Amino acid sequence: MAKKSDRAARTSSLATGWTVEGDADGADRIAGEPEPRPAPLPEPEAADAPQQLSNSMTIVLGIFGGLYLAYLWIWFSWAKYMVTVTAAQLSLTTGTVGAVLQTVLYWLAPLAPALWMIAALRANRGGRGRGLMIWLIVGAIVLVPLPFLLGGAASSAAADAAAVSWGAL
Amino acid sequence: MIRRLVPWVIGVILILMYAFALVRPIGDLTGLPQLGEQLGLSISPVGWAWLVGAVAAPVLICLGCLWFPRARTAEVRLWILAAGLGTVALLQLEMELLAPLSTFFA
Repeated sequence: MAKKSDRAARTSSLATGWTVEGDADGADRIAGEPEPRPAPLPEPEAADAPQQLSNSMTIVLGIFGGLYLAYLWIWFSWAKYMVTVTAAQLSLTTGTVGAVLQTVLYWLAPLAPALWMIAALRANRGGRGRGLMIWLIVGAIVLVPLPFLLGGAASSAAADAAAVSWGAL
Repeated sequence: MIRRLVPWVIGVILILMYAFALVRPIGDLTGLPQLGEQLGLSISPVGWAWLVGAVAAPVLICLGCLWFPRARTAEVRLWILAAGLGTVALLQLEMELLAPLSTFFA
């Protein structure tokens, strides 16, 4: 038969009338019983824990990343072209500050795919892949370089006319 | 204090850039019909669509970028606001490349 643990409350054998306080955990524990394990640390929140991308999501991100990079390069070439064509007229028609701001806007256009990708990744961090996919698909449609797809030479001629006319206005 | 101030400063700069992106479309919306009258031409329906769309796009995109991520952190909201501004700049550049002045008049 098991006996009580020594750490249970007991009457002192040294001082009559005194009681030795027992271990709170061990008061009701039976001798020989294994000590209780400490309470496990709380699990970190799922949102805070770094999540590893699945293989399929990695492939999808690679495909969209390459597509967006192509968009960036195409728009960069068009922005460079427009800045070159309209640089002389901008300061005359819109003033110095207006010319600087318009040039900033021109150079901001090719950055749009990169900004869209970053915003999509930041907004869907810790979220499901479906939201990120929707963001990336919408971006791939909105940011598509139509002047490039509709024929570079024709668009170039149109760009010449547009640059002159819009700049003159 | 500075950590709270910096996002606001960046946000105000981005909003001002949205406002600047709106200046030229408004100038075109008011100026092109007058130019057409002087030339004896009128704005075509496609031209009106371009002109109104050019004014509406920065407003709608800016409002959407402010409203849609309103429950997100300041950093995410700034990224979305910057992506929206980039999209506005891209659409304006696209319009300049695709729509020469001749397409505005009937």
